[in-house]
Amino acid sequence: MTQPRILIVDNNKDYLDAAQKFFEAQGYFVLNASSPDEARPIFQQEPLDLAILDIRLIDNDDEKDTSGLELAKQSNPAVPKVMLTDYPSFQTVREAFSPVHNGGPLAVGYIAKAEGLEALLESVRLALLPLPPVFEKHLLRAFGATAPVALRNRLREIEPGDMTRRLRQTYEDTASELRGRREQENHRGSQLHTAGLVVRYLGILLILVACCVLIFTGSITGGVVTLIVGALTNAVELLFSRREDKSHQRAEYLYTELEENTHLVEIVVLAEMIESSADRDDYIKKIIDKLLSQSYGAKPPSPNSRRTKS
Amino acid sequence: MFFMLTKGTMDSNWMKQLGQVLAPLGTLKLVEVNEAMKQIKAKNDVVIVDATFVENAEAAVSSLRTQMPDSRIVVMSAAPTWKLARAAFEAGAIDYLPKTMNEDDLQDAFRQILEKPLPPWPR
Repeated sequence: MTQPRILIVDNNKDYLDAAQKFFEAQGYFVLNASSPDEARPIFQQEPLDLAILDIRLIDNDDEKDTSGLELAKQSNPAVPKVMLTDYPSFQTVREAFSPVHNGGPLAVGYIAKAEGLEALLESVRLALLPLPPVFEKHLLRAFGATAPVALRNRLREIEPGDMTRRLRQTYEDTASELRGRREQENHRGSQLHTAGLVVRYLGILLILVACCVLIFTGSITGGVVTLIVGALTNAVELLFSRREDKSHQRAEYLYTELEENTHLVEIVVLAEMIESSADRDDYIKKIIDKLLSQSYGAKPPSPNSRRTKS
Repeated sequence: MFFMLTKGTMDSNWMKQLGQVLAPLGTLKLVEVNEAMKQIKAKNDVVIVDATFVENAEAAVSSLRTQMPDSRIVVMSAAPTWKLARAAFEAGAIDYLPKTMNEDDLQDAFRQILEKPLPPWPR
């Protein structure tokens, strides 16, 4: 697995060094910058999976300094951002989670430095969650969370004994959607195959007609034109063939995801065999934690890392 | 339409004031928490959760968003904290406003809420 590439921007060099070492130890490739001017070329030139931006990047003593948020707004919207601050406030939280031009929030996470580097790591890991998209969608829906970062908090509120039902619901909904999409993809592949065959035979027919025109009428122009049209038709058939290949690849990918989902259902079946509901819930939480921890070589957080609830 | 979740027949000067502020944008209706599902049906209705009356605003937002994915949920608080604001947004709220906002700013905020895209739902 490749290392995720993250950028950390903070004008506090001691913190920047400590954060860089921490994330490198967790398996991340880290770039750093200590000001918006240093960060901008990195955003433009380097491939990044995520950026961690301190909010006060110019003057830590100026409560109006939101240069980190401004940098977030100006930088590549495809790079998810986690905002970091020594001076958390509801105003900056509002600004961090407000929608930007692409409809999504400006930031995917907001962490106070006082919460510690492990809370920051958790936010980053959840933002880079590599779960298969269909499974992730259904997992979040079944547990009533709108984003991976909110899922952990939701797990604490689920009624006792309800975890297994929700996880099973997740697998059933995922399997149902994957099967439906695979059938659609197979159907699309068949249609493209048929269309490609029709075009190919049409092309061959046109080439034969061209030959007949050349032989029996001696008309070179007519023959050549028909030959060119026939050749172009066969070239069009190649396009159909490529699209059909891509459709088959997508169907295979969906089949792989469906197989993985089936494998995970076995875990649910095992969970349902646990007699004590408290032990069962605990087991399910560990499963979800393990799923959430599967990130590009990054290690899961220690058992003591936890955000405090408000 | 704006719906304010409330308990019992709780009413207050602040709610009346909020109704007047929102009047140019829509009608404000008080709705019991357990009646919310029956009354809030239209897409893009705004549901206002007063953090004072709800034991766990984050859970309330999450539950509302799951059951009414097209509604715009706003949390308002007399004592806003950054942690509650973060929890509200992560649970799916579209905005988090202090009750102490002046009327003009409040009206502007709700006007923007009506225009904002809904927070992203799982893909």
